[in-house]
Amino acid sequence: MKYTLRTIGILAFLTAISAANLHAGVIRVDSFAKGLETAKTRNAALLVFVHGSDWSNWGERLHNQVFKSKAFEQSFLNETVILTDVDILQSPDEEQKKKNDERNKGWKGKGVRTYPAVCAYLPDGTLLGSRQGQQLPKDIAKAQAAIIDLVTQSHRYMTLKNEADKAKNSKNTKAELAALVRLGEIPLARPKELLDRIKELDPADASGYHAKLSFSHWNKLFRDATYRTKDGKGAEVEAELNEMLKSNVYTNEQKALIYVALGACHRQQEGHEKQAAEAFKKAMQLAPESFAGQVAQRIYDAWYKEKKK
Amino acid sequence: MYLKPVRLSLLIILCLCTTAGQMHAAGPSQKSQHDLLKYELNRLAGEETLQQLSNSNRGKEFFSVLGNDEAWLTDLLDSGPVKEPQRVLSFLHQVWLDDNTVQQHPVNRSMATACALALGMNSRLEEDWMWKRYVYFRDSWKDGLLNQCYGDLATWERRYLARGPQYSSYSTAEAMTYLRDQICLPRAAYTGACWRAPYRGHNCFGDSVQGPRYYLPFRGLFSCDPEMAIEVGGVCGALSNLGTAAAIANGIPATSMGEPGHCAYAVQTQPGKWQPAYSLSWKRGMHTSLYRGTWPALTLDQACFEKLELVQKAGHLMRLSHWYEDQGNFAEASKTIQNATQLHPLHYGLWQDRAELGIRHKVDFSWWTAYHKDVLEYLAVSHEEPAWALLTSYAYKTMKPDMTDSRYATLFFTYMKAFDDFGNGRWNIEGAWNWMLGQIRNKNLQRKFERRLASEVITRPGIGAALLAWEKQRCGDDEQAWVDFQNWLVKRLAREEDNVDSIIRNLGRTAMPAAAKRGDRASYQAIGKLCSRLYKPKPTDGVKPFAGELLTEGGYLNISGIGERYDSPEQHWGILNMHGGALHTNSTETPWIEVRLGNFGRLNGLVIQNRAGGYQWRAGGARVLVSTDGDKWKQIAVLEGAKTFYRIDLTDSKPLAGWLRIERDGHCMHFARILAYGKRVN
Repeated sequence: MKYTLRTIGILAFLTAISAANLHAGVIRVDSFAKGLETAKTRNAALLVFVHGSDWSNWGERLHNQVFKSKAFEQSFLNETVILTDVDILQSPDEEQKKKNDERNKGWKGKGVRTYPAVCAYLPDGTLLGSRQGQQLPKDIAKAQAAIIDLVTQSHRYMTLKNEADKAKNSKNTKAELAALVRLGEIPLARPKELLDRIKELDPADASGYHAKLSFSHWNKLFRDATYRTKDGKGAEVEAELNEMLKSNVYTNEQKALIYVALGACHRQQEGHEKQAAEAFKKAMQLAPESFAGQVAQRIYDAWYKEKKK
Repeated sequence: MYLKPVRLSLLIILCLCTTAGQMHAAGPSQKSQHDLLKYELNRLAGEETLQQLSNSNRGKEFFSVLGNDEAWLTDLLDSGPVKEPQRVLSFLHQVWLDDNTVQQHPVNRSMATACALALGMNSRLEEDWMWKRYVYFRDSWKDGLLNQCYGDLATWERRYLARGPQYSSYSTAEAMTYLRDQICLPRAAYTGACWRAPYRGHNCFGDSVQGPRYYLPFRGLFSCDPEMAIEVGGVCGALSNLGTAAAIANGIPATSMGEPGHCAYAVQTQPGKWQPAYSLSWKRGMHTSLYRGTWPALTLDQACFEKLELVQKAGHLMRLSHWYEDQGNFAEASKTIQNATQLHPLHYGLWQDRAELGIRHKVDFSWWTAYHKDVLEYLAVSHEEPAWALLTSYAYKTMKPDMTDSRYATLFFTYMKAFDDFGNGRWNIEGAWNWMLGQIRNKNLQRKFERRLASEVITRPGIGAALLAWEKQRCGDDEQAWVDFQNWLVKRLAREEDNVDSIIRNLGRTAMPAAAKRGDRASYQAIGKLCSRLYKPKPTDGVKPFAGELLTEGGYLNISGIGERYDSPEQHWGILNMHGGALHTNSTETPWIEVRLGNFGRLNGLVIQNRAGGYQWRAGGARVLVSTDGDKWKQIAVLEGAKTFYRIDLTDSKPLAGWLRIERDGHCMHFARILAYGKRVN
């Protein structure tokens, strides 16, 4: 009896270990649709390797030496990842095409700009992010590291999303805000509602997170300033940009971008040459080596330095 | 025995097993292909070049290696024209010195040869720039980073890679590395690669792309110019060069090309097939070409060089002809090059070579008559544009002193009779007709010629449409001249019950579908407008336009079952504009309507007007799709229910389109207007 109990105990322990293992590690499936289904069932991230087996030799090397390798699998012993691939053929015959289309069913190519690419999806099929082009180095070891990093970021994303949801349910606004901010800082696709929710939680943006996370791409920032001013909204734009400059949430590089936008706004207004020159100069001084500083330098040298003479 | 200097240098430099003396002694039948290849290399390069190069670093050894490598020599001499042989050989010599893989590795050797040949074609290209290109392709191929198709390309195709796009800054080694990594796609997808850069006439500071300020703030801030175009924007020049450069960086032949007021490009999307991209017109000037920069010339070169065995056999005959000429045996030289052109008539270079032989020997009229006859019989039947170019560049020009007006007219008619319709694509046949008229000095004869030309070609669907448009253009504002022409046409073509309208209707029925099929927008528009007088404009009540330009204006359309039972192609033109018109597809499994927009654009919305009266329900469920290349489609809407007007708001998605398609399963469709509004992106 004593032995029996001990045996049962050991068996129960072993079963528990096996069950834990079942929930972690790599699960390979042979089509995109199955991948999504499995990701949903297991509440795990889906990682898709997108390649062209009949035209991209580098893609095949990466597929064989990284994606299909045991070493790659070993990186995910403590987390569950669903792996599959999508093959974009260049010149299939009819039969190959039919078979391949079936394997790729449901995959719409969204977010893929170049091949090979590795895409990470949430269990509900939302594209989280990818590694492709220059983000997927032409070096096996570095490429593997980039893919592992994508998986790590994806898991972090899912954990934080979970934390934010739990905090929301328990009405812990502080914890929710903290989780959302960290979520927003992950270089993956942001949840659609993230910025709105942060605004709801911190309407005055006392934390400055909303301002930080909603900072525009340089092209949009400059374009908005230019074209809204052209539309007669110069004063409004100027006020907004000056308001942004008062905030202490931005880095010097970001402030330099704001100054360039301010310069662009002044440039569109007659009689504002002096203010425009001043704004570009400030951008140059604030972050001379940054993109904004360099743009400002070029504009200043070309148009304002001359006028001064 | 007297040895000419060139043959002497052959003896000295190539260290060949066949001496110049043997060359002289051996009869033509004994001359091997290899002997003639070596002979041709010497003939092309000339003594001075050979001496100079052989005296440079290991020059003699290089020439010995090249001379003894038959495959390499063939590649060099049978892959299109060899211009500036001194530059070509000097570059090859340098590659051979700096890269010991070149001789053993066929792909590298072919690329090096292509780079050398491309260098010879353009004196503005620098050796160092070309060397970096060669190294880029060599290393990228070795690392498996190019499209698999690169390994199968022939040297003549690699010349497109070597030359690069029109903007050389889009194709530096740095730019190619960037594009190889950032725009690596399956071959056919490069026709859409241009859209990676946003079309922006003004940059984010409001400066126009037409001035120097557009890129000024950003110069040097990106890894290369293509990246700058992707980040900052550009218009057709930047977009087309980006598309071309991206394909080339991945080892896929492509060329940028000029069109009236526009820049487009072409990609070899599969072996043997070139596809225009971002193109608005058939009036294309290729920025890279072997012999001539027209679209029909490109299709001719493709047809020629894909028959590699014939190219080499005919090339052998051409070299033999050179050898005979060198021996002073003009008759054999002439006969041999004639055989070469007949053996492989698609080889433009052979026709040129034959004509140049005639010019050098100041041959008589009958020699040119035979040349003329052969060009028509062997080439014009399927490639009438290159044939015309040969005749005007060589035959007519040389025959001119002996030509009378009537003789000219006869030869021109013989030419026009040599082919049925546009063979390998639309070309500037109007320019040819203008040229013909210009040669005939007698005004009366000129007029007679014009009428005879019209009656000769008016019934050919494609060329007939072009002729009608040409005649209308010639009449200009002279209404009476146009009326006279139409009256003449009626007399010429009509049966007893016919009138001008029925003649025009019949022309519209045949010529408009033919023009649409060929992408001949100008003819489609000219005939369509002419036919529009046959049907009343539709009321515009209920047409609520969207913001922007009417992008369908100036386009053309095609439908499934065009001209069948209920359809009237002559009423299609009005469908794409406010005039209104009528179309009726057939009832196949999935009937379709395809509209080529007058301009590429970002769509704000569509207004689709159903046919008045019954059966409006047939439109319900039809899918609306857009495309940027007329090949790959994306669904943007579905027509819901039975309505007179379908108004599809696209302001949120603003899909990019050059083509529009409406299709549905199971029933025919009939519309009075298909109008697309948006912002033009070309």
